Amino acid sequence: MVEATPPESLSGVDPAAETPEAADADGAPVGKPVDTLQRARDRALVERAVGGDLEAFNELVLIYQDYLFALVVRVVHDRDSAADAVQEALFSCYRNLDRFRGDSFRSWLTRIALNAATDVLRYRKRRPADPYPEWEDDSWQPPAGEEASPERRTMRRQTARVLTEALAEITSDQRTAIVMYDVEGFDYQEIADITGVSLGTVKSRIHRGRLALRELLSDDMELLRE
Amino acid sequence: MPNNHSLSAEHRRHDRLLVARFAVGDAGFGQDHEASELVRRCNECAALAAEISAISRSVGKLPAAPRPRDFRLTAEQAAQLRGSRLDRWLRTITGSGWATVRPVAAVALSIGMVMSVVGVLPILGAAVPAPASTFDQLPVAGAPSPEQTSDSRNGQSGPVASPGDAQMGVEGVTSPEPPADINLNEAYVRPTPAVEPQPGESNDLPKALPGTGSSLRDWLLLSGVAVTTLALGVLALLYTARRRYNDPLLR
Repeated sequence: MVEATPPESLSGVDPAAETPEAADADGAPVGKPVDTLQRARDRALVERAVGGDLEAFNELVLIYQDYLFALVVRVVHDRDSAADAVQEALFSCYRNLDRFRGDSFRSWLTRIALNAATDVLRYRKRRPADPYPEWEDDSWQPPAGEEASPERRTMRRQTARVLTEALAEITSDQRTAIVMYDVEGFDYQEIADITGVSLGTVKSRIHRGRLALRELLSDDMELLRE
Repeated sequence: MPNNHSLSAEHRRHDRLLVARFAVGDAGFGQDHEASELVRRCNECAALAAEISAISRSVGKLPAAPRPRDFRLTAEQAAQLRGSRLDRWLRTITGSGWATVRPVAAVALSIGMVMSVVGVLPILGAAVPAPASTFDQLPVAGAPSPEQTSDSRNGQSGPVASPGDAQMGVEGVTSPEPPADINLNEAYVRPTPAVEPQPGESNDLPKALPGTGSSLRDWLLLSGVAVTTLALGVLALLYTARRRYNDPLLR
């Protein structure tokens, strides 16, 4: 497999910066102009890809593949299944690129990826032999800065571990909503549009999910206060 | 730190969901005051709000898992995914842009079937309006009232066999000089031609007049069959395309 090398003009664009909560390098909130620019960029790439330009589609893949994998792996809680789901989502996206009619390519792609993730969860539910495989992979651990002490690094790893395990315990609907809101920075309406439920349902899932997380993390709250 | 499993009786009555919403600034207009009162007065509610806030922050800081491989498509994968021109067209007609075609085809199928059935039934020929003078207008002394003759005119027991017969009956009744001993019920349903054909003329009466029942029935039948066939073809094509090319991930 060829190692991904994002083009210079695109590699610096973080898809998460589209969200209202995102901030630029100076910490200033990123507003609508960036969002509009990114959507225009995506539409231009989609048009080229629909015309048969594979490089244009692969540019879109380079922009969104990290984001997609990070989202899906939190929903399905398994790296291999997540990788397969992302690949399936991108295949489906390419096959049906001419059916993209929406305003935001990112939302459309997210919806396809979440559907693929949901299929993984359904498949796992039908065959519950190994519903949530343990992850021993060190790549899951948070990146530690050079200055971080070993104690601090250990604490961060422990925090990420307990949080991830707690997230795996709540319902998949709550988990998806929380990850999309807290991790990926979608707003309520975007989540409602992507997941096809009402705004109230999204809010309810997020708040009830947090309450469920609090119950699950009751013995580890000290870690989270750090 | 409060123990979650030994909540005070008072705290159990508090709306924890409201506190959870308040903790992230999402209590909503009109409920902010109630939530802030709960947090201010109840230590456990205050702890709950702080912990929900911490959880939300911590989840947001979770590190992204690095992807295990590059997901870019190769040229071979792309060619396989795109398929032939026919594949692409069939995939297109399963899309939302063609969503209205299926109900339209279903309606066309219904209309076509109705047209075909109406074209086959003999009611159209029998329903051709009679000329102005009818049996009811005959000034025959002692003739039965229309109500008395209605049973035979409705075709319940009378031998109205074909539109041609009906035409002949109308002509017989409208003859200017009906026979004096005519049985009116019989005359209505089994008339005789009032005018004898002249020598050299054919006594074959036309089965139907041009532009009336028969030609309309033929037109309805043919159009109905054509519309039905076309609609069935479109529905079959859409069904096949949907079965083969519908992508479940686009649900």
